[in-house]
Amino acid sequence: MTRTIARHAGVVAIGIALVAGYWLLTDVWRVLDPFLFAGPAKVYPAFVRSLDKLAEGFVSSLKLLVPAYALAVVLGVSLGVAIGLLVPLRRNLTPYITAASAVPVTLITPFAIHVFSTFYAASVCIIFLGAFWPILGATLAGVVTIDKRYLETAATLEIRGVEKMFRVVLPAAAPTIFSGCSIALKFAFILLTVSEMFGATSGMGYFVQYYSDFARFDMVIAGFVFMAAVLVGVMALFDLVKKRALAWTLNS
Amino acid sequence: MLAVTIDNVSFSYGDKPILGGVSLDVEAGAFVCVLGQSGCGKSTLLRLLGGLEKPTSGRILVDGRPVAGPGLDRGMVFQDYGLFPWMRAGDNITLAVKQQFPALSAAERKAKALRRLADVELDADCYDKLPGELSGGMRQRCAIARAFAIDPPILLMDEPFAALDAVTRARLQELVLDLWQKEEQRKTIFFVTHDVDEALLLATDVCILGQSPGSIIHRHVFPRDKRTDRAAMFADPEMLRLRNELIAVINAEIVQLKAASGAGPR
Repeated sequence: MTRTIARHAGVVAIGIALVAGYWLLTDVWRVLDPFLFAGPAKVYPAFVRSLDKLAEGFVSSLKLLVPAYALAVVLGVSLGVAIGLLVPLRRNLTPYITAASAVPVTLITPFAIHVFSTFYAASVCIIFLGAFWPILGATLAGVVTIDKRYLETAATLEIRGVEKMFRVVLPAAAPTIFSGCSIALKFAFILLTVSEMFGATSGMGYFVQYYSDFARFDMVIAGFVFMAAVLVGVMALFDLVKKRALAWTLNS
Repeated sequence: MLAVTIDNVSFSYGDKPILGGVSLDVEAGAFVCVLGQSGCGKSTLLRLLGGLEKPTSGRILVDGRPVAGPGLDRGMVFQDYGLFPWMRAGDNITLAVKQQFPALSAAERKAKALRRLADVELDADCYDKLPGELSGGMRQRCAIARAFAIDPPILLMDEPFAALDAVTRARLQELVLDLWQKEEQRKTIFFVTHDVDEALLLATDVCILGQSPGSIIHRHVFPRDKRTDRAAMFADPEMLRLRNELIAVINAEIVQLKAASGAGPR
């Protein structure tokens, strides 16, 4: 326990410095516009008061995030591997993948609402699209840049098909795939706010959006802080998984 | 334990010729060392034998049949990168064993892998280590253990000891010789090296590959009763004569190449 604290001492110190700096700029010196930049003196009570609502929002946000992100990982990785390994397919699809990934997902909202019968499905769709393209792109890049010598060793051992996929291609491409998944996870959080703008009645993104409409920026900042904390926690979990899967790269 | 015929094989990368008309007949069970300077195409020759490249012209026959691609009948040991770094050393071996002997149970595969690790003088606890946790010498031992575990009739080794220190290299040379000699049906081994002493120690058949484009410029086949121990080797006047002869051939080639490039425009 003491060791964990010691290891994270730097993180805690920087956190305290950031909050203190913000506090000086707002509540103490009033350098920043107090209407937009609510100081800790206002944000902290707002945060405590809304904890119930934020926790409820956390649960309902996860109901959007988890299926959307899981689907993005499964489809992004499997399609990425398939397209990456089949050279003619890759050659013909690459320009379309590039084009599609350049479309800002936020602009797809009206289309998603029109196409899907429920707001829930439309919201999942938007988060999915935001996460899918970076994962697909990273998987493709990872598969294409696999060291040729690994594939040659697989060939001399006649490792083919499913075996080759799971024991050679995926592990070899895993470092790149994981970095794509981590970018996608952050995108998913950003898009949560967008997807909860319509239809949702609770959620972390909804919370921020709702109070923003009423210009209650103390609540908005409290929501931001909560979301950021959740993201940090989720990323820590993600890194744990990554560390196990990529133990062989051995540089921590 | 299969005969190999290389029949007038040429190979080019784009329009850059690497090998020009290499012909070589090797009897089953021979230990062929291919000597040559870096860049002469000796690794390319090995890749052609392994089926990782296709000859531009000519053909390679194994036991009378042309090589169609890479396969389990020709085991390969590379200088490095032979093992998958994301798999434990033991899994690297059992995966290969499973490919060659699909009928074996998991326990039998593991037993076989452990036996082969013992053959190359590695402890059983190496089985659970990742290749990155092993030294270069231990990794090469694992690669050799894997190659012998799948028991291919032909073994192709591409400067497998070039990156190792002198002591480890000497140990592994003897180990490979031992493994090769104690088999009833000896494997046919192609061993690429740039070290004349290594070739003299290991080979039953030494070929020197000349440069631009590569072809065999010298060959020496040892008599069947060749003694292979390091101490005797350097005391044998015939060996010393042969060593000088091989070095002379390689040096003459270097002088010739220099003259050829010196004559060109500056």
